[in-house]
Amino acid sequence: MTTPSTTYAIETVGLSKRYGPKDAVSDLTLRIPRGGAFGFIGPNGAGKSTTIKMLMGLARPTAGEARVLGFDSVRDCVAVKQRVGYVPELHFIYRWMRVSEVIAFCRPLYENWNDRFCADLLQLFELNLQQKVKQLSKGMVAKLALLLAVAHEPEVLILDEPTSGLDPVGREEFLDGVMRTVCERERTILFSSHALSDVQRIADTIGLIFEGRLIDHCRTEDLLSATKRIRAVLSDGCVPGPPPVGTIWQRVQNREWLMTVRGFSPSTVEYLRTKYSLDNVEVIDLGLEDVFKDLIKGRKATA
Amino acid sequence: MRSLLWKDYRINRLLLIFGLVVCFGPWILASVWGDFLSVRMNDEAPWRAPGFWISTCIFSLGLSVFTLAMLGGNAIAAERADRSAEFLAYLPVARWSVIVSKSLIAIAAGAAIWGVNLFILFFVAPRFEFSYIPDEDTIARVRMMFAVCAAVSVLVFGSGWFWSSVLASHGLATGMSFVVLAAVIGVLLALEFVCGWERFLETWFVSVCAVTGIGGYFAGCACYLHGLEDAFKDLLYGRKATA
Repeated sequence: MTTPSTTYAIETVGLSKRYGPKDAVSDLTLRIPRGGAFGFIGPNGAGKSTTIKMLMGLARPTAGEARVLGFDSVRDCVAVKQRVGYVPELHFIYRWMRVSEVIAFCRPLYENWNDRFCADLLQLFELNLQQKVKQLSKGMVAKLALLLAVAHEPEVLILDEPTSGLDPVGREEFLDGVMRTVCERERTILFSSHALSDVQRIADTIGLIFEGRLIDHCRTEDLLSATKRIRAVLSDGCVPGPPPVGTIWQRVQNREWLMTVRGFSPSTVEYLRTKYSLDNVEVIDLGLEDVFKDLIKGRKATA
Repeated sequence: MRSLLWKDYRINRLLLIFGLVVCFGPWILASVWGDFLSVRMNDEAPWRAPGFWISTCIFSLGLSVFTLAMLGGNAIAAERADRSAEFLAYLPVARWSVIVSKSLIAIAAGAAIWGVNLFILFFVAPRFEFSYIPDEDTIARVRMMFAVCAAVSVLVFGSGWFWSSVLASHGLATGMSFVVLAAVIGVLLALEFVCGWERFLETWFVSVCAVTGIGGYFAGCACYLHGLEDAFKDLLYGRKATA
């Protein structure tokens, strides 16, 4: 089967999934270009895993469509799985199999399995072929899952909270593995994780999903450079008026006014200084984790 | 397909060994016991009696009903129970090939059990000189017993297979296959007694078992192919069905 021509590795249009009365994913439209590294973030139950399951053809959308490399995730799910490497949060590789048996089992299922690459990864991950899966540590199982996900040289790699539950060393080794295996070849990555420092390290674009809806989708650099926290000290201690345009979260405690502003520029500080009587204004750089927290807190406050 | 067959063989390996024991066990026991009787009691060699072969064969096939029920119940639910089905789901394998592989293993095991027993009965037994030839009535009764064994095997396998496609416990799926068997007997008996239809159970038991078993097998395949297990789970646990 030839790959349908498309500029997007992953594309969803109006994708929705409903579980009973609850919308797990609602009208999600997302486009990830080929070769991009996309960080998919959101709080628990936001719809990240459901979206990924629909992309992998593991869950049927209620409405809309999901395409991976131009293939429809429902109709052509086998073609999608041939071209996608998937590492889920929980690994259910047959526990009774030895590492060698897992590889021997998966190898014939893929058209492009690369034995040489697989051998390199075995060495890199220090996996013992004779060991049974049930004897492997959590970190080693995650590495085995990564090996199985990339040994067939997929065009797209989907990682759904792959480092969850791993200790810091295991997490570091896993991410090193991802970087080393992926950077050598130009692949599209969709990386979903609660460890936002990991996402920041890998992703060049970020999508933030909240209550099943995509609320932000932009370049990581742009998000971080244009989102700042402003700490102002109010001279009179009165409750301030409207915050600057683009404020995603704010808190007033005594005379301290904290706000996180999206689309920050020097004029934002000018605006505050001219409009309010302030003793001190401080601009603080934020990491992805703080931006994420403030976005979610702001959303919850407005809701 | 080869790797799927290997995986399904490995998952059912213990069950296949159990099937082998249950298939050959009665023959080995009967031979040892028959030998003991003929030597100690100076009796006529038991293998000269057609009843020895027929009863051992029916005993072996009767026991194999349990093997087939477990093969049916184990088929899909075993991988769902330990959640390895989720691993299989994200591999590039079409659902129909998963079903074909599981069916081949189970049907091959069933065919082997029946093949071995019928081979012994029709090819090995006639090599011994029988002390008597069974009459027509006995042959008709034996035919009926074989038909009942076959029908019950088909029923428990097919219904076990169906329950396996919708449940996440292979033990429960196997148990349910015997519940279905009891239900079929119960319904037929009820019709016989309530409606006064004479010999209703005797007349219809084989056909109803065969149809229910084959129907259960195809219904199970359809459920698996269309991923209906989630909808069934919602229905079973009283939640609103997945839209």
